[in-house]
Amino acid sequence: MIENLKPTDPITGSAHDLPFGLPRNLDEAVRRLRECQPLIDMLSPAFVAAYTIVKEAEYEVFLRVISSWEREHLLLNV
Amino acid sequence: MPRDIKQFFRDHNIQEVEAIIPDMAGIARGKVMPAAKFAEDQGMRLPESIFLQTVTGDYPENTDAAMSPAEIDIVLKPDANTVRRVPWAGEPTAQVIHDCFYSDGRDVMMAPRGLLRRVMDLYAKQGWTPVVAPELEFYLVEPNIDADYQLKPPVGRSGRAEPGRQSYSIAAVNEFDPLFDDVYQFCEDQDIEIDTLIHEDGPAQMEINLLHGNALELADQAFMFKRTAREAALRHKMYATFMAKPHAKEPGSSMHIHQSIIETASGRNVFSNSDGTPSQLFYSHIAGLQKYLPAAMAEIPAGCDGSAGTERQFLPPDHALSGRADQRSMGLRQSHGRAAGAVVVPGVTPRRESVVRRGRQSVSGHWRVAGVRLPGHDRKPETYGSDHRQRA
Repeated sequence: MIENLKPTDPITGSAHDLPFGLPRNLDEAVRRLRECQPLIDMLSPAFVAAYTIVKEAEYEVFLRVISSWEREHLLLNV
Repeated sequence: MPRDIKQFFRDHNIQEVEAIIPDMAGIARGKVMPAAKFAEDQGMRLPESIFLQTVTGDYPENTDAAMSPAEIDIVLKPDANTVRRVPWAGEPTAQVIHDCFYSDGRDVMMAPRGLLRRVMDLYAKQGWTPVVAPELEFYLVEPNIDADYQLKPPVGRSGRAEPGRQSYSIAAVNEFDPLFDDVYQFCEDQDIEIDTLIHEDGPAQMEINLLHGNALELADQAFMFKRTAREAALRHKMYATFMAKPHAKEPGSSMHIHQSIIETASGRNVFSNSDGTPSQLFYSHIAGLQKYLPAAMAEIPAGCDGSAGTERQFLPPDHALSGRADQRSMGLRQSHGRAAGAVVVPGVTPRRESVVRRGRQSVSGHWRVAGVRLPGHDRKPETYGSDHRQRA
């Protein structure tokens, strides 16, 4: 609002078939936050630093999980 | 301890106190103590690393970027406006939300509730006041003792679990009437103002709307509501879960936040011209969301599962903007309603599909409200939507 931006034209049909515009995983989302200086200025560098290292630590642990999908499809097949 | 907290303790014969701060994941942390001890305390202390604790209870390997290696204590100060009863407690218990400061009085910048205050100050500098109304989606599930097993919908009054999709079904909500009677009573006891309750798309998936109001108060209410729903469900041998995606083949849960911005001096809704048409600021608000949402996504979901934020199995994608106020197929949506000034105003509601969509509820309500509104602020425009269904 302060930058006086203009939105794109409204979409009149369904947006279901359009490409993704938002990051699809936490890695990518954290990277984009760290690169967005206006957001960092607003939230404070201290908060963004704390938040992003917490999210990274959570994501690392999350990636260590062996899922039921792996047991179902890989256990006896690969 | 502020006077009115003492008075509250006397009025309700409070024996025990939960001194609470919301952490990065929206988890209530703090201390439980006898009321007499709380009254004597001159500022409770906790290590600042409490804000670097992950949802699994671990800490990042290297915290130098966020915190002094000295690991300084922070001082917690009670916000007297937040003192409430804990209605599910056995003996008369109060809860008080605290704000966090260093011993020299500086804000703890990592504290989500402090962040929300600072973001609201940015609005104030523009002469604006944000108004929000969160809507929280959640599932009721059977108790899940072993996390290796999938979740199952709970059995309601009929003795059966729900068959298929029951969107907006009144009878399907009634299945859990005894539970919701407790939810309503607990909310009344805590001044959590529930507007409506509906059945969402998934089996035993519900959505509760809170009445619009001050952003900090609503963040507090959303934070308290999640505890409330979990406690009420436990009484009926169920779990209430706000996790983003509890059932693989069912819609996820989100929290979307209706927003409007009032010009503080006049009370006028800045999203609307005097003739009821959308204002330039309204369009800039949307444009800012479109520009900054991709960078803000890390703040919206609390969890890790990658595609959660952008799943489109059931819901419309991303931050496309709908062309009509009544069109639901987009991430950012205008909606009809009356503004506080009784002007009919289209707002924008970032539906779950955009920002909040399926956003991890586990995120701190405070952080989420802050995150959402942030972009609108500062020089970045973005922000978020609003819908003023201002229920006048």
